[in-house]
Amino acid sequence: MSNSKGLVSTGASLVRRHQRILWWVFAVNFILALLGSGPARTMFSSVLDHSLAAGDISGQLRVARYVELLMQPEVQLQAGTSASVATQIIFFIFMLFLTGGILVTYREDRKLSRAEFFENCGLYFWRMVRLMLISLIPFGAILLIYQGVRKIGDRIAEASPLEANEFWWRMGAGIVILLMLLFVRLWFDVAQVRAVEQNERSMWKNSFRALKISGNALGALLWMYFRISLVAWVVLGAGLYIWLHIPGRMWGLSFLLLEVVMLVQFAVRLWLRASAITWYRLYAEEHPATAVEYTTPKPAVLVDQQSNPVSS
Amino acid sequence: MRNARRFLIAFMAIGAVAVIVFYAALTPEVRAQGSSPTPTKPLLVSEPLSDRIVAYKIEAKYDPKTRTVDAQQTLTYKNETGAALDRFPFHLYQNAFQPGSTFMREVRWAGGTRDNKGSWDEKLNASTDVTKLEVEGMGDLTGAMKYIAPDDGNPMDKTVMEVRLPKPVPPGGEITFRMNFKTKFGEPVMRAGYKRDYVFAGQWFPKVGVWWKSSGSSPKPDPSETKFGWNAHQYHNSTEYFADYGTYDVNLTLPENEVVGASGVQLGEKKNADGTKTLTFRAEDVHDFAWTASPRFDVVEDQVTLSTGTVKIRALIAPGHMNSAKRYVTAVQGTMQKFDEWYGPYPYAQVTLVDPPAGAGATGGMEYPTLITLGTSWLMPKSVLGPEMVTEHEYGHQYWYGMVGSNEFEDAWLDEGINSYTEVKIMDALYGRDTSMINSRLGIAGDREMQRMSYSSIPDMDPLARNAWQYGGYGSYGAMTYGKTATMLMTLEAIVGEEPLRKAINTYFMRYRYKHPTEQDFLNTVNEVTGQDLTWFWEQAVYGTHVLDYRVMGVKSDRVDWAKKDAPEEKKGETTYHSQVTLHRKGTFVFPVALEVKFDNDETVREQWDGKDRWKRFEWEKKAKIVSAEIDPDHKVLLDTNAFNNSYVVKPQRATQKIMSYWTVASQWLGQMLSWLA
Repeated sequence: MSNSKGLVSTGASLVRRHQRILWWVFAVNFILALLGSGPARTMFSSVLDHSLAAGDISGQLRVARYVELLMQPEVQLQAGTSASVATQIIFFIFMLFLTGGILVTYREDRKLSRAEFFENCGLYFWRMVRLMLISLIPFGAILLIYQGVRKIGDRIAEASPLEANEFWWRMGAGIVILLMLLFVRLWFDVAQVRAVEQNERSMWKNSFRALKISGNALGALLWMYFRISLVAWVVLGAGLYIWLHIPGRMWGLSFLLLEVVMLVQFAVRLWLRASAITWYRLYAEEHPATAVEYTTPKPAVLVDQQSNPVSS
Repeated sequence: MRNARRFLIAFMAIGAVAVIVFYAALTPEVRAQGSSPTPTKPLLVSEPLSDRIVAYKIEAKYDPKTRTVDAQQTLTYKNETGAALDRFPFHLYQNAFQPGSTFMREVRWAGGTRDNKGSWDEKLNASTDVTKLEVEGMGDLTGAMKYIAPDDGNPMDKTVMEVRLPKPVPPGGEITFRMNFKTKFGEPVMRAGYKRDYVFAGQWFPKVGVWWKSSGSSPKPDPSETKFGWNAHQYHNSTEYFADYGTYDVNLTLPENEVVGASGVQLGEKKNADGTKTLTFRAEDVHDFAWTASPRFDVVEDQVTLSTGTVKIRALIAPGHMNSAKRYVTAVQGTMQKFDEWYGPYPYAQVTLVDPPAGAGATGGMEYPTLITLGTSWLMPKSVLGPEMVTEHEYGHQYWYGMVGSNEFEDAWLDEGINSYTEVKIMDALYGRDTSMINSRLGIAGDREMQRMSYSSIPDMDPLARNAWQYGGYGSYGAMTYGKTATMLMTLEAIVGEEPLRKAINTYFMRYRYKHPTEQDFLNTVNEVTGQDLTWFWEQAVYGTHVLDYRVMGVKSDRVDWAKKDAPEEKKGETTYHSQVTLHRKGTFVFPVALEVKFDNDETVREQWDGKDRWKRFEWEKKAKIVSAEIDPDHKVLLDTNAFNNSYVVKPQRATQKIMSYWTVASQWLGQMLSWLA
């Protein structure tokens, strides 16, 4: 149905050409994470900064000392965590806000001015919010399926003396659920693209239409998303493998490595978006809204046709 | 369509590689099933080791379909109490697993069994019913049996049954009980029960109480007021057992396909015409008898040579757990040799290791004479030494519970606590002081630290000297009896030395094996062998709830000439400083304090403080500034509940940056994951 190899590389090229978006997303995420970690930093500092026992954490991690740290009255994990969660919710809203601008940038494949970019962000923001809310329905359904998988896993565990049986059930079902999640994501990516391309305002209608389009091209789209996502998984796996081999005292190096992994995760997400919009423009059965103008007969042509009916 | 096929092929290929990698990683190292000669008698020595107060002969038939044992038991009891006995209590422990029992009430109130069920399921129901009781020379006394509840008066509790005799058994006399009983197992709530085709039969027969001090040990007994009587407590959420030493002759009939392990040694096997077999077991100088059966056990056999001779090791391994078999066997061999070297001889001819199958973890991590139950999982990584630790711990109970028969109802710290201490010492010796629990690239943990963590989580709820069922909660029971005792004894090494304490524990073992010592027996032995009156320590650590926490409250180096207007510029090695370190006793536990202070001219000063006052200030005048001050620089006082305030270092440490770097990454990851919803 489509040349997904070309789509994947075209998507990658788009992300590379407009890498400014990637760096901005990464930077905002990083800054928000730093801001959110302030309360935690204060509480850990009060215990660790002038204690020799801190060496049991800054070097090779002594698990019991770390647990003892968490038991200190000064360390209120909930308070520290709340700030981080709050800033990352802000990041989520920020990403939702950016979606329109990002998609228009990839569609146009040119550097938008700051005003153009944010104008598009604002233009599509509420549509993206509505789409996100609608997407919670299929995501919720998958959550229900996951609960069912867990229950079946418990029954297998109850019936079988081999823990392996339960493990493989959960592994297999987990992979299927991951694929289902990937499908829902691509479905709503197509819906977002369609909202921008068609300037669609009804998000319910848009979602159903996107489902139909995604369903018709399920193999091609899932194959494309699967391959791109695989990059994220491979980089994550390799990153964790290298991280495990970095001595505990070299935490600065570990941090840099994990930041690279994080950057790749963001790049992959943008790569999916770029590939989705490229696919849509090339292969989706509907034409972009901009093309609709050209299909509208011009008055002059109408006059010609009326004057020369034979030509029709 | 072509893409869909390619997608499917790629997906299946990745799945196949994943399966191969996982199976390769999990291929058991031990497949070969070794063997060693079966012992023909239960002991490696020829003389009886105990007074053999009881002699049990049990003919039992197990039906795996109904998970029921039908049995006839003959118990001969020697009255060496010095008193005439006209009533006998019997423990019927399986009756604890019924909704109205004291055990289940306590589970509901406090939580914390090994398999804490939220609601009652009929599958959990278990029972032991004595259907007939005769006493030789006194006739049928079935009608004279009644349930008693000496601890809480709960009329629903059936875990202790008492029978009154028409005439007393005189001092020095003997009595023989003949009982028919039926024990039905439930799914395991704690320590016994069935799961699928596996059964663990612990506390499965009526067991007579112990004539001992009847007053309990809480809070601190006055030896002059000690009264003697029957000591037969109900089964509680946080209690184990107490029984007299003797012999067990058990004939167990069950289907031929069952693989069986039991206390003692197997002396015979007879195949029956009905497809069953009868196995004959004998155990000597023990105070309990447990057995297990499953058609799916793999048997791994090995041996270890000790000062008493060669001991057979027989491991019954559940399906899927063969990758832990070698770990169990190696751990028990190392542990047995260390116990033999440090604490005393193991006189039994065999030790049986039982690995419960998945879902039967509630029967794991438990000790019975010459038989221990362990625990692992299919994916247990080598870097987590859980199987080794549980093997060490349960084998240690052969000494602290098995041979030294302290009262687990009243003095739980004497078995669980001393055992946790010896566990730390042996795990340190076998697997490294800092790596004996977790030894991975991600982090390390030593057993001693884990015991200390357990204690510091609830350090002040209860004293050690308390009846096990009267602790503030299951958590406090665990923190005190296991964690605090181990930590207390490790701290005691700082006062008396490691070797003298080892000698004291060795003496305690040799002096009280096959007896029922009290906590005072243990404390007196340590005082005597170490040559120190440690009453001040025991008062706080055993009988008190004192918390030990000293801290470095302030560190200051101030120029001596600070007030001079024309003072020379500060210069290392030339400027004189007045330095102070202030220590603070935050807790209520008084303990001698060692202080080490380091100066920036590489000089190190050590000071001592008796720790009695609430605070103490040390002062020096030197041409150097303080770099750091540290309490307990040798890290021996593990009872100190807060290691972070034991020191002050002037230069800020980098641990916060490390934690925050990971915190930041975790926070970013959360944002990244959320953005997949956007």
